[in-house]
Amino acid sequence: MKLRMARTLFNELRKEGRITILRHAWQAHPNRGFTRIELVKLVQGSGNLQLNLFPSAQVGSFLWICKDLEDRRTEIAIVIETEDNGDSIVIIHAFRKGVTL
Amino acid sequence: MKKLTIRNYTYENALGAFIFESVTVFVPNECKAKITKQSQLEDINYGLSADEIIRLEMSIGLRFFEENFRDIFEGVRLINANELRAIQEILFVNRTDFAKLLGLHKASITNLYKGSNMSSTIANLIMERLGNELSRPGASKFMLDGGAAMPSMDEDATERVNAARFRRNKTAS
Repeated sequence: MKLRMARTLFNELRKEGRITILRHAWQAHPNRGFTRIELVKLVQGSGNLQLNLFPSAQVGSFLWICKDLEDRRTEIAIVIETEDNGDSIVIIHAFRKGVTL
Repeated sequence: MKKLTIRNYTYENALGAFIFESVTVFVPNECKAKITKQSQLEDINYGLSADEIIRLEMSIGLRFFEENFRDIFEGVRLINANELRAIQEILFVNRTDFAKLLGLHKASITNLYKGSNMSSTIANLIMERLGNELSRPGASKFMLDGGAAMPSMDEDATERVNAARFRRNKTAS
């Protein structure tokens, strides 16, 4: 999927709340301190959708770059899944540097 | 992804753990095993939908409010740093806005997290803000920014929040 189309679809889907969070995103790296509700609200908030150019990235994934509540740069890897019962945003991975709490 | 219903799902956050009768989860299409229990999800990268997460978090928030409002109101207990963070996430405001909601300086919020500035009065104020947010999701943002329309009220949550607020202590009367 091209970036422009992904941005349009992403905006529509997050407005409708069609977001699924995979366990890996909140549980694999406890040092990053992500919680499930935080990830939902970050994806629903403001940010910028970019191509995921990491060499190890999942093919067809995008990066949602935003700021968390403590103004830290946060990168959330998402995939837009197309299924019979409708499209949805799937959060597969989340990254931010250090946690101050 | 396949949609499944899990019975007796335990959802946990800093405000506590709660067993939910049924929770919808998503598992990869490749997953062939028949899954009905949470313990079977241990090795699977399963997903939870945003609606479900918000429902579960709000339920835990409500239960925390119901169980602790009286004790905090009477100064029996205070709010610890982990609970404070979870409440801030429910309100979804940054520390500056959180300070504005409580009528404090931003630095005071940092002290609250360190545990050095927490008092019964501030704990009560925090519970009030939590109660408002639970009964009217989006109320905190509305209080900060204003907006065209007041967020709509969750009637069931409002009833439970009010019941907790006006319930008499067992030892009283």
